[in-house]
Amino acid sequence: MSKDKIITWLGERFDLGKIQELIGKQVNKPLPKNIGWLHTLGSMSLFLFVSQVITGILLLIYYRATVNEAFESIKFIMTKPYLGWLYRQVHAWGANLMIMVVFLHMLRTFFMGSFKKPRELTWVLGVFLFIFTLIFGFTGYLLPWNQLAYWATTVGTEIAGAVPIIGEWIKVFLRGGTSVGGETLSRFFVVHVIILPWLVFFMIGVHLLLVRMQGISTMERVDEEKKLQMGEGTPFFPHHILKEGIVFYLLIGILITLSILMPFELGEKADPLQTPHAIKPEWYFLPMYQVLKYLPKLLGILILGIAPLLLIVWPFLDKTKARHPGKRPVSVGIGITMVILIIIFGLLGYWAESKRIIFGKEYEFDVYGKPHRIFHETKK
Amino acid sequence: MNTKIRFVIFMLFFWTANSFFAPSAMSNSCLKCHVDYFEDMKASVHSKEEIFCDSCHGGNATQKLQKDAHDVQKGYVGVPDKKMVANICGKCHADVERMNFFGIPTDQLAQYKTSHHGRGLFQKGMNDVAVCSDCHSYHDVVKVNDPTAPVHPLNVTKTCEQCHGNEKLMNRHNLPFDIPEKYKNSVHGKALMEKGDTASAQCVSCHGSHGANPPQVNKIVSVCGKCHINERKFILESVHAKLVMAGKFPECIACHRNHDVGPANLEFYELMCLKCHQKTDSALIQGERILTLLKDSERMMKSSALLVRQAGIDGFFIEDEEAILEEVKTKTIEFRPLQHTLDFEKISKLHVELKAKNDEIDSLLKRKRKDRHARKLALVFIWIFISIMILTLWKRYKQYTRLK
Amino acid sequence: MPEEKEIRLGHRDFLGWILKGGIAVTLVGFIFPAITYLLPLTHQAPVGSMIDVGMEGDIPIGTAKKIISGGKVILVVHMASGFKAFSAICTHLGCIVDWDDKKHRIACPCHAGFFNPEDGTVISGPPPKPLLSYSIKVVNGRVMVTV
Repeated sequence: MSKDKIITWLGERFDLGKIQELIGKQVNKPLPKNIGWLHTLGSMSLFLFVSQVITGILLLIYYRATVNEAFESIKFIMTKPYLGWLYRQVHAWGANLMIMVVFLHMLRTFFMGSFKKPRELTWVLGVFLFIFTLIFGFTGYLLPWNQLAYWATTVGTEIAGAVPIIGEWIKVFLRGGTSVGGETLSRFFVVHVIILPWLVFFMIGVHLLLVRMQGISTMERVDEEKKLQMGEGTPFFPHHILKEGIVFYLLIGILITLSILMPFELGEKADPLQTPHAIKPEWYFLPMYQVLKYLPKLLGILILGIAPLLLIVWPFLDKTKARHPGKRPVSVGIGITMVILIIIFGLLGYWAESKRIIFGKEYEFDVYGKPHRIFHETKK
Repeated sequence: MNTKIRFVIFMLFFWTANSFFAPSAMSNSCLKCHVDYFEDMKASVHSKEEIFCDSCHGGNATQKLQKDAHDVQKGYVGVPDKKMVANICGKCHADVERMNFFGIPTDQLAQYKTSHHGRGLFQKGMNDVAVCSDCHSYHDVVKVNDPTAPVHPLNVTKTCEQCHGNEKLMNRHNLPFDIPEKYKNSVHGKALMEKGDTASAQCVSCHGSHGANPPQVNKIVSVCGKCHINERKFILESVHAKLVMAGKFPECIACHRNHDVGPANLEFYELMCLKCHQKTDSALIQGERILTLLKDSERMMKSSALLVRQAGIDGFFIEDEEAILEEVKTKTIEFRPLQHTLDFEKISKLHVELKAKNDEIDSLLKRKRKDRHARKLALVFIWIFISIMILTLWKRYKQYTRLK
Repeated sequence: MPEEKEIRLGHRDFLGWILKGGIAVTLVGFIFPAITYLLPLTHQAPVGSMIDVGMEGDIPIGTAKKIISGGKVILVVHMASGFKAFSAICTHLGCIVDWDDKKHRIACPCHAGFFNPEDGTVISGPPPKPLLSYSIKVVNGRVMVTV
């Protein structure tokens, strides 16, 4: 009764038929047959973004972005408000998972050749989204204002100082001063909660619009894709949505489990006078950080600068028609090499400046990740 | 005109001379020959006040010839003997008018005469007792608070040890010579010499300086009580107070000893009480009850400190517990003076308070651990729910694909 | 055939109920904790580095109040000259000092150390250093200590 009334009330004002048609078209849009579990990585990224926004808003309610209060307010969130600890942990783990999922989503796109014509712009936007996700991580990491965060940020911004000529200026600009301090915290805070969220929000919007407009890529060669008719392929609703639902619940489970079983500890409050041993950036910057150690400063910066550029322009460099990974050995080879290199450098960075026992023998890894056997004085 | 120029030249000469020597040091004829002694006393408090050789050694400092200056008839003393030293120093230092503006007391000589040192010198004619110059030095006397002064708190034990650690000398007076060694190993000695804590007791804190004497038995509580205020207060509330006042019981040192005071220890209850009490005494049984409480309080403090630390290691926030732990520590330290009352009621009251704080820490931490456990338990239910949802979604998906 | 379809539909309906219920539970599970998280806390939130000690009238002149906040024990004394705040940790052995009502001094119960309530300096006893003092302000009748 009342439902009919509302519909007639709306109908008098809007062309409901047209809207229904539009929604229906989107909802029932057929997806190609080759769509699999890997194709849920994109929506997983989206889910994580939404989760980050919601938990982020909740954290903002109690967080205070000043040098004197940041650490204490996080401690407050973790102890006093009901479930505050959970929201912080889900936010922290969500950030880590998001970087991983976005990266995997990018790899899938790369190896399945989905970035090729006509979807080059979707790829470019995607690369930017990946870079912004990393910046999200970098800026967010400082906000608890603990020792780890403070020194990781110090090291991270130091890298910018290596850029020739304008490096020092960039460094000071990023930090808002000559060293990491209250100004840095304010800057990072603004970037983290105002600039990036909106930027990423609109970019995701355009990214999704492009995906919906151009449809999901198949494995067919470029310019030979067949347009799917209604009733062909797998319908978006309810078939694919159900799969996404499964992934969604799995992800929530993983997030909560990690938050409870492997919580991020707050550690000690930032102390600019006390440099901890072996400062390292977050794991997702470790490969880059490690590469810089081996190369002369200028070359290192050059390579690190070129890497994202190369990613952005990749669809314009690789204009071959084949999409199937088996048919593009060169680019797949490059891709696999890069992934392996990233993993190797990441591991070297992880091992560097630490002691580890391998097969019952104790090794000390130096700054370059090279192991040195430790011999203990044997007691007679 | 000529006289004016001469005057200016004279004045110039005077000023330049003035900047090298003080006028009276220049005019003091002793210093013409005894340059070496002047070197010794240049930095002393006395030379700064223009007190030179003749003030103590007599003689005439205006005479240029040694014969005239060292005229015994005119009061030349030379090297004074011990009795003279005391009197020479006293000549000024016991003079109220003279000392008034230096803010120095004038009772040192009077005090000295009451001391074992002074009585030995003046009444028994002993010539090997300490007199002013033995402790304060002579030509190079500096103020007590000067760290180089032999009577500065950090140096005073060494100064006393010169005689009191001398076996031959002490044997002659029938005194023990191992006291300085004993002191060095005591809590006071260690605090003073190892930590440089000048507030720690040294020889003169208990024996007095100028009036140095061993304290009488009934004065021991007062001597120790100068610093150990609460202990004194509580001892005087104890059953032993009467004996103390009657001079029959050397309270503090009965358990803690005197020169070789060791760290206080609960074992004292088991060792020292038996010195006077029989094992079957009701007093000893009371003592055992007190001991049990004290032991329990130490145990509680240690266990709650351990609990809090472990919780910190396990990643809990322990600020509130740490604050309560401070209170626990306070109460535990409060036991130390309070136990001297030997009052079971008072001690058990504090014990109850301590236990309440201890239990508070315990229950707070237990709640936190329970909370963490509950999180893990919740995880089980969350996963059951998630599995149901995933299974249902999957079933539905299969239905749809089969329908096709 | 129609029979089979009906059975399947019945089965589907059951699944549908689980799904609907599950989604509802999920939504409630998201919204409810968020609301509890937002509930105002009776505890004092970190107002900068300020601690709210209480109303001015709660501590009459010549009395003191001990507060524990953020692992710190603070003694707030109301003197005729105004409010004073000190760390209540004695500088001797770390006992918690208290206000001595009769002597109008800050007293340490352990070794009879006394402190001046005006500036925290040692009056007598073994403490080697004065008590650490905090700045204190009265804003609209509320006593606030800055830590």
